[in-house]
Amino acid sequence: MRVKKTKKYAWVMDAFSQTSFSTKARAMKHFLTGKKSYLPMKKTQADMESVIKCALCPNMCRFDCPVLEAEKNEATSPSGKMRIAYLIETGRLDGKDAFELMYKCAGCDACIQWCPFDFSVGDILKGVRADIVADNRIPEDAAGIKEHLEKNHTMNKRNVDIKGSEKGDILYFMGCTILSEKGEIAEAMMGIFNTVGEKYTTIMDEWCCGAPLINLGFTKTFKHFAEHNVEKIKDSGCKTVVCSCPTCAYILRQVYSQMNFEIKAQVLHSSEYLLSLMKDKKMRFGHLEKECVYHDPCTLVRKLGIEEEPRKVLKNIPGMVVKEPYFSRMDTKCCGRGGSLGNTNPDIAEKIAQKRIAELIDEAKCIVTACPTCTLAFDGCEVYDISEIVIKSLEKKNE
Amino acid sequence: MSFYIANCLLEIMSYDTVYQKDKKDCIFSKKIIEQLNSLVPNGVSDKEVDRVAYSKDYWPITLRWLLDGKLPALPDCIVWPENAQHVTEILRLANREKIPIVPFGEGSGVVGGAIPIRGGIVVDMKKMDSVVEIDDLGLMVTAQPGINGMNLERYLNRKGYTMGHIPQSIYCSSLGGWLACRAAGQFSTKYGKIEDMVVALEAVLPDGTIIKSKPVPRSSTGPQVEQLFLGSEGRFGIITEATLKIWPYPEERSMISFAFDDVDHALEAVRKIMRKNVYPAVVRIYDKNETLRHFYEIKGAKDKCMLVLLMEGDKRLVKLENEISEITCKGGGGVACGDEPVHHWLETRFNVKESSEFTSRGFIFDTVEVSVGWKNAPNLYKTVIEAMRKVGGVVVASGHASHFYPQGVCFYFTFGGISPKDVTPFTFYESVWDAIMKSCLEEQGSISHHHGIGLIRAKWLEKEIGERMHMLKKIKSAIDPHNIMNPGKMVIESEEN
Repeated sequence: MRVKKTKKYAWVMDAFSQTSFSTKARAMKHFLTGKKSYLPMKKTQADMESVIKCALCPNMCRFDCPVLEAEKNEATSPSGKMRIAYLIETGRLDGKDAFELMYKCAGCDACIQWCPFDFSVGDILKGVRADIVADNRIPEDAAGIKEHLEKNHTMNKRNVDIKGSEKGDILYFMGCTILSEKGEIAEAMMGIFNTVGEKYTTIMDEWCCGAPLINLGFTKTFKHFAEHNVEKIKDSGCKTVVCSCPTCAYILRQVYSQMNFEIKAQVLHSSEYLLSLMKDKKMRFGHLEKECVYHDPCTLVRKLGIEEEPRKVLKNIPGMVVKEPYFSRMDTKCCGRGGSLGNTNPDIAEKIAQKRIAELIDEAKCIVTACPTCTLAFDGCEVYDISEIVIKSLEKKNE
Repeated sequence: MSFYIANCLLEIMSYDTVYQKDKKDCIFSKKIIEQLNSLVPNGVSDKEVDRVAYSKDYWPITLRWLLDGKLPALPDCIVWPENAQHVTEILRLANREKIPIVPFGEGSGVVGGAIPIRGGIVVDMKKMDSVVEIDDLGLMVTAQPGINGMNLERYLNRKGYTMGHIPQSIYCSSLGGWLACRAAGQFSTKYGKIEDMVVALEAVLPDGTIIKSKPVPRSSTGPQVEQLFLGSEGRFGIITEATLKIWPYPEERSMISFAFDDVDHALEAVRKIMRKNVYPAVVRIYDKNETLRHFYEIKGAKDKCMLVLLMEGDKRLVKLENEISEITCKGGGGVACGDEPVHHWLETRFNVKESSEFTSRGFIFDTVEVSVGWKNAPNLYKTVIEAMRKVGGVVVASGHASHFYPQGVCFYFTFGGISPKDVTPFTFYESVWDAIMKSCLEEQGSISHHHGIGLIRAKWLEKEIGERMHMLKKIKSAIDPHNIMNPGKMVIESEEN
């Protein structure tokens, strides 16, 4: 490894060998200490090295940024946001517009694949927002979300009242979107559990996984939510947690453990769970004549690396024709509601959704995805979560 | 040096104004904002955050401004037109009120061309980003200038075409920007530069007149005046639509590479390939330092100069081009290194990291591209490298050749270093630039191949184009008597302006 690194920088050493002693000495001094002069005096939660690198980039990921595509404003470009972030963090810029700009990101991670540093602008912004929270300069919308969650514990009013057994090997973690607006996905999952004879349970006082809180910089409150959910999951005695929402799966599987909230049970996204049922031959699909286009949810594909699982399940259903949009898998496009953008900037979210819908229905009228938030963003179209397709097919078999 | 040029230089050099919070309020007339709002509803902003965001392009000096907290070139407002008529109305208002106009694509230019140094209105073209039409029979695409380069190329690829214009900035630059600075892409040896691709243009003159040429392959109808817009850097008006050549997506791609003892031998091999009327899409010769930098893992590349070649198109033609290139390179002393170096180049060609990594450490990096005829090419390369090395504080001085013609070549030089004690970073930076420009002119080269003039090259333009400068100034003052279009760039204002 060290040899490889030495070779990588051999050109620099070669160049240095041809310079004067004073240049060498000065360069070395700057190399070791130069950066410090550009960092804020105060300690920040934002990773300032990443903020600076991103701010100094020519914006190589901009063409794939859905927010910029919707807004057409240089300030909302990935590097544009980081420039403003740098000026905020160094105390040179303040004001409502600057702070609000820090929330104009869908957290879709399209930027990562084009970034030579593998940066996620959404992840970097979380630290900047945490600093905004610490300075008590929180924009109204973001503050409202926190207050609401502290009071109600889920993003919207709970409209779904489904419960499994008191105890079960499987715990179905519904997530806010299902609890409030997409009960049909929970019903589909329950139907699947029942059809395959799985003993499942739910958390009666399930709280939001905390994604909006950590997205918006409310780390302390996030930890409180994580503590609650981890405790409830532990109490359930389950061996596996199944989430329909990729963001819930990501938060429970990766972010909780990064913050030392360990979940002993295995956390699966529903597509992984469905594939395991299929492999174990627990599901017998009936014929379902349907042509659909599959939309990869950003978090599922980019944070969890799940591309094949939903496709394998859908393609196994007799009669099902699954088409691919031009931008699919890692190249997928955001539905607009990622990174809490649907709550903080609904107008931008709607523009992004409309663009993605146009790309999807170019392939097929029926959209299938594996994320309740994406199905919500595509409301008005014929759109299904993967579980709804699976239960339709299972029911066909039993007809 | 004319009085105006001296003034302009002074203006650039004096960009040390530290952004002062108490002076941040927009002083631009609210009446103008109101008028703009009525012309372009929901398309105007004078918010501080937007003005800051539009105060830069990708000139390395602006990166240092950011880190130093200097925002010396704030526009007064930004306007987003949605059609040519909007552009007309904006320019009429600006002309009437004598307000500077800075057309803006994606701000990826590297010479300061899009920096609003006199304030005024930035006209951001991003809302004019549609593909209007693809003409399959005539192999042409008509698009609006605000479209991002990669999004345009992706759109074409999806329909089975390519434009073949793939600059390193394709992810972060726009069609309008390409046209305004006479851009060149990495595949230019085969597909040509942007001016070779343009078939027709629509543009708005500073007085609001819309001009449009026909999408025909050629005309003998007097000088094609719309071509003044190619390389105009926003000084003659605003391009609102362009029709460009496209090609069916290539069915075959072939990649080969050769290591040569020195740059001269590699240049000679490519010159002979060009002479046979063979046009590989990508041709790149790296000097020893850059070969060490990019191809350190390639066997046989140590202490050599790497030549990478990529041919694409019809299978049979590619095979033939490959064969001719291979024979010519081997005959010229090249040692075959296979396709790995080309794959490596393809994979890493968009990794633009230097500024991000080194600017905050006090290092100054920049690239300078020039062109030269074959006769003077070897000398120009050597003279420029030597001139860069002579400037105190320069650590890296390297080059590659990346766009080739039967007549000559484009050299792309890189310098990096640190300002010596008691020398400001800008003075150091300018000294290296001066050394390169001077050497280039001495060796009969042209001071820019495809990045344009902007601010940094402005003082060299007169030396480059001689008496043509006088003609350019006359044209400029005829088209834009109030000098509203991107003032201070290219320095082609009449002295009285």
